[in-house]
Amino acid sequence: MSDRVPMRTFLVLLTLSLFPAAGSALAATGDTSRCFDPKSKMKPIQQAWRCWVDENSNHAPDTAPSSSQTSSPAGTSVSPDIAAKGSFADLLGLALDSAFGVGNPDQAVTLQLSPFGVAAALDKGVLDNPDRYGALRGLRRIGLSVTLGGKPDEGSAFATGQAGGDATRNITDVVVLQGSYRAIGSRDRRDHAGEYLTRVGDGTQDKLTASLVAIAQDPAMSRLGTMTQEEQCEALLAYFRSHAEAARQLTTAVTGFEDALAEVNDSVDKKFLLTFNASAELRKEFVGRDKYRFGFVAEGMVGQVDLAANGEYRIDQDVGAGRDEEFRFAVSIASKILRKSLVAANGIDVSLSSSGQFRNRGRDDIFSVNAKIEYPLGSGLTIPVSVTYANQSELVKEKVVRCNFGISYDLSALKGKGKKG
Amino acid sequence: MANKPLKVKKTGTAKTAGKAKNKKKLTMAAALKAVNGMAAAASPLADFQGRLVVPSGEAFTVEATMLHDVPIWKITLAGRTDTGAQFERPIGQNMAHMPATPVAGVPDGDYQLVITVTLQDPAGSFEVRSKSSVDEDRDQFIFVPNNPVQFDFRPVRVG
Repeated sequence: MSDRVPMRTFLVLLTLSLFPAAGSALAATGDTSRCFDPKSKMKPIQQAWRCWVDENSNHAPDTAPSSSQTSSPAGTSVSPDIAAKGSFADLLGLALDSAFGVGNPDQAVTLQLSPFGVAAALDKGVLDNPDRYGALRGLRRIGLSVTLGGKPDEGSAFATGQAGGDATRNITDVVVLQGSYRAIGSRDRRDHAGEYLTRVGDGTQDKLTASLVAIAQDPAMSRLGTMTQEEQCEALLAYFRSHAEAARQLTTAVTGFEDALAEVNDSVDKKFLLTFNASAELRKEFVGRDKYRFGFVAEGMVGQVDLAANGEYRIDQDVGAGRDEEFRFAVSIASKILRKSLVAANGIDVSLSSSGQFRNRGRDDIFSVNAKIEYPLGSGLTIPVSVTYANQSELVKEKVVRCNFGISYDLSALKGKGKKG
Repeated sequence: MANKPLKVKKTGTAKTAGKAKNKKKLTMAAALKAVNGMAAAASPLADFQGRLVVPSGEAFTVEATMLHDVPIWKITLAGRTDTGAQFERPIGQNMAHMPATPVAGVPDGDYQLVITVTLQDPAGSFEVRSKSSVDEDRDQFIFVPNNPVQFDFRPVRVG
């Protein structure tokens, strides 16, 4: 992230400095009708500034907010995830399979909720008041979900056709109840207000204010109080056109502010989380056995290391022939080495991952280890080399140990170049 | 002075419409025409932003409230005095709620409340209320996608 910060600012300023004539030409036409939008949520000065940036660079700073997706619990028959996630819906979440509702009970609907969500629904002040929001941090650590629907077990009576022709499926054949407790960490931005204020609230904020104060002290601004919003926008755009240096300083300040925010957001989004999960997957007899899971998920940055680890103990319903039990784990650590070296200025990505599955009743245990190095050749271009060892040949075809290497190119890097160019 | 009722700025539309209704000698059709005509003529005033008017030598207050987001904001009064001198005074920053804070000793002149704020939560909002003995003003910011940093000039006339 930090690599991109100066580059984006540089590109904006470079474009602005290369094409100052564009702004002058537009100023001559006096065309401001497309500048002010009365329906916009942005203030007149911000609309005027955006308009000036568009005129001069065709590149408005953009920062997309982060988002998260709710889904059914990992490990269930309807989840694509192998490992559970460390985070969950703070208030309320609803996830539907895309084709849900067309009579396919293999698909599922998941409803996520939390005690905090209930508290917020009962009292709006909980969300708005920072003190009360902070006081209920404990409730925000708890997540609950209910999933209805799922595929039948492979050996179940329904799957093997032994359930009889009149056996019908419905969404309540499989019900999964899950509870999560986030023991360590939070990725809620309001829980990290101190970090924001430390990293953004000083110099970056002051630079933006200073650039605006300089504009406010211009004698031309004394007339703003007698103008309509549209007139204000027009006057401010004219000011920016005739005071390009002030507009550039404002652009630098805003872009720097947004980049600084994005950096803190990135840091918060990677905070270390440790979450414990427990779930009960309750199945009707003809679609399989009940399953009970107890697990943990640890994920996030620990120093310079990106860590992801999860473990799960699963025990199946005993139907008389003994019960299946298994313990699964997976751990992955990734980091960059040789940063700022002659070998690779931005460092080399290395990762080490391992997974294991230990099973009872004479079933084979499975485990594997993988090590991977990605050597960067340029923006988006890498040479990955990976080595995998596994004790079960079906995990690595033909041989127990396999080494892969190749060339990988991230096409999104091309897209980014196209935008900036 | 303090007992004077507050004069809140309106768009002016209702007032002008009321004037039209008072023209008793007009026929209904003429009255309607007059009202419509006045409403059309008054439309530029509909988005009149106004400014906070502060009597000379008096103080005014500024109150700020951040809801549902990290409180990163700053308010500064900046502009020029009537004698042409530059003026700048920080008023407050980075609190979830800044109670009504008096701003006193501001020379006569035209100023802007320079407001910067970050809003990253879709439910987040930031409100600045300023009030003098004769006037009051309110500026509200709400979340705008892809625009985490927002700013505004809010005019203040002293004297």
